[in-house]
Amino acid sequence: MNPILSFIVVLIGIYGLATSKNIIKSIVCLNITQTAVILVFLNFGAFHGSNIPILIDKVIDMTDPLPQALMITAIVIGAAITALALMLSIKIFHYYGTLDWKELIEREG
Amino acid sequence: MIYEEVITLKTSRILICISRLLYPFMLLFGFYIIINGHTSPGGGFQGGAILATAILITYFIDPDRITNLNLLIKIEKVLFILILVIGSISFFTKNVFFTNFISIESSTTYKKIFLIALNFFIGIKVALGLVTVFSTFIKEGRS
Amino acid sequence: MIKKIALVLMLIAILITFSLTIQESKEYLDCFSKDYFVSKTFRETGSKNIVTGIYLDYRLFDSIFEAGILLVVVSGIIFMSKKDEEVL
Repeated sequence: MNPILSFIVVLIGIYGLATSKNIIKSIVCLNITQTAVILVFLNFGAFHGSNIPILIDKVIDMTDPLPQALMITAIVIGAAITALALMLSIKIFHYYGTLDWKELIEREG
Repeated sequence: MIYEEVITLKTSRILICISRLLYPFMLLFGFYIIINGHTSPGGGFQGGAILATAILITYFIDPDRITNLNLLIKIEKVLFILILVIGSISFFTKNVFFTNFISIESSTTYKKIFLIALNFFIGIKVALGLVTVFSTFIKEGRS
Repeated sequence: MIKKIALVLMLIAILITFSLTIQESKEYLDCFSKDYFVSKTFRETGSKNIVTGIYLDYRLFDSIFEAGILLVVVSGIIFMSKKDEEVL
């Protein structure tokens, strides 16, 4: 896979983040962006036909293990951010009664 | 009025039966992934996520099973302090924080002890955290 | 409408810049860290899975405080789910 193809998915997520009108849609676009960034980083170390980084019998043709070890951190932090954003959106809905960005901005002043 | 309909929603009996059948195998698979994290694909975080899904399937069997959230987060705090202590033992043996506390010349069979212990505690901690998050969302939806 | 067209043009510019960077950086790629991990991870940490060897030994500082982040987020979610009267 090409890193440029994964980067196009990042840009799609950013476009959705900039144009979505609902908070839930914004959270979904945030998730798309985060997953695509992980894909970009994984594509840097990998090439076609490479093996997993585990020393079983063949040592040749291994992917780079460093991006994979760093992306575990990114996945857990992404899950944490999603949970926090969903809880905040629930609180906003209980307080204001709406989840639309424009109405929220108008009510806040 | 929307919330009352959600409460009275019933799960089908086929789903409950299949969940009861599947629950011990999912627990076993999660523990297998955690314990064998140093020789095969997997590890603490991934196996912890599988364990969390296995525990959360009890919401299909009995929706009022998990009630005591304060106990869960207390166990999680104790486990986090335990992980910090295990990581800091190397200060007394090697004068460096956060590495393996067994010396670098010893054989690889002893070094596995550190990896297995840390994988196990991190796995249980991640599973408890995800269960607490999901249970809090369910409690928020019911209230 | 004009805003969306400007946004799309901006994103296309970012994409072109990124692809040019990828093309140029291919000359400077090396496998130094990969060779080091493949040859020495099993002897130094005792783990056949190189990813586990990295995140539990070489970069343990990172993964321990990542677990700390999860703990803080769970505490924050429980705090936010409480009503105003229940907070101390």
